Amino acid sequence: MSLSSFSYWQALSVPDALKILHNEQQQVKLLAGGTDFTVQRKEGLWQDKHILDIWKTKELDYIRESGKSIQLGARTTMDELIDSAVIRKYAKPLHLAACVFASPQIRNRATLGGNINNASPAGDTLPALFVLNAKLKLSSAKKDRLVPIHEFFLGPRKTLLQPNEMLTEIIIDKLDPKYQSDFYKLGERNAVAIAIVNLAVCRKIDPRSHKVTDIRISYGSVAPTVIRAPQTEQLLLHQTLTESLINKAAERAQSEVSPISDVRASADYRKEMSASLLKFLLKNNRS
Amino acid sequence: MKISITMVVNGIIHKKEVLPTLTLLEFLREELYLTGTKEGCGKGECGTCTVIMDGKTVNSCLVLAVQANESVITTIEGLGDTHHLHPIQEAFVREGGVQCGFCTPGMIVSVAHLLEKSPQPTDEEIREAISGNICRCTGYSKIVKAVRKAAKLKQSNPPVTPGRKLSK
Repeated sequence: MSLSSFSYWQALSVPDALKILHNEQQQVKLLAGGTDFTVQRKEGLWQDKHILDIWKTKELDYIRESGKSIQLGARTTMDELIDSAVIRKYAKPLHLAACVFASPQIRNRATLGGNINNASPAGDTLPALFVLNAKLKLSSAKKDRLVPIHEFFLGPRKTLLQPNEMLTEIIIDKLDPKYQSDFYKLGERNAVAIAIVNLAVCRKIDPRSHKVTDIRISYGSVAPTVIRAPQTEQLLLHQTLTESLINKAAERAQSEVSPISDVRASADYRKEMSASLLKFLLKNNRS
Repeated sequence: MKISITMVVNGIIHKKEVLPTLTLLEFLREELYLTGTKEGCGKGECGTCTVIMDGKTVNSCLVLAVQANESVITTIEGLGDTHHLHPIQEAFVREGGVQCGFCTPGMIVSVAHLLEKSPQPTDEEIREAISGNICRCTGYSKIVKAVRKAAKLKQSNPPVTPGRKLSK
């Protein structure tokens, strides 16, 4: 095991952190809870890199509700997401994803910003953030910019974050509590497993006509980045969720995913499970 | 370059100079000689390195020692000792919740945190609380039973620091 060495800085405020990112010529790796960093370090990553620790940047640790949206500081932990009444009520998919995230110990340290920046195709909060149409605030010393989450990821571990930028805030539109939200993570064990497939679905059904008035489906771990399944959503929109329609939707979803085979599962198994899990969640109609 | 850190571990203040690459686990074991906290997988999967940091359980293998600067830490050594077992330790002994024993320190620390939050936990809460701790001997049923017993023992005999005498 080759442990990498690195130089360490700590920032106690966002302006401090942005100044360091602005002035430093060499690439700086941000560190928050460290639950991915310390593992990647043992794999030899981040050798001789400059590490900027933002764990104690408390101004990034918040969940705020204003009008129709919720703003989340990037340093918010999974544990804080689970405990938040606002998230439970208005961002249920994110609450459900945080509940099955890794383990209690890891949820106490892992941050939402960290899970996004790590840019794993299997990141557990990502399908939830995709169905919540999250926007990411990327800040630099000179300006802020807002990027829709589906544009942020360029591939496994690749994002459009510039070296002088950091993710400071995640903004989501409140989801009407009338939506039914579901999240399923398929892993080799319940805790601490990297997902073989993860799936977030939220839907709104008209109580009189029983027709779907809105549906959003997002998959993780079955493509180079987390994806929405727009064709499957389109197939279900304005329809009644009958068994035959659900079967057709599951088939359509299989054509929208493009998994690979790896140590956790084969591409074929992931495809099968993409369909099965969607059927399972759609059949569980609580309205 | 070494960095100066201060930490309260099991009620004692420690001030040390450490390299930023040192993990909290290495700090506890190699600088403070608190070897009750174990290293299993070293990547946050097995939970045998679990300690309580500022009121929350963490995998000490995933936290850098410099990140624990100014923190309050409780390790297994802070819960009881060979002669004065904590009620959770006593319950694990009585119910056979220990087989090889390697996962036990982490299990007990996770359970200590659970019983602080939820003094009479349901089985579901118990299983969730120890979901980040792997017992490779697979003695989960007895561990869950021991936690139920610990909740009862703790209620009838709240721990006196550093623990109670082992009853025969």
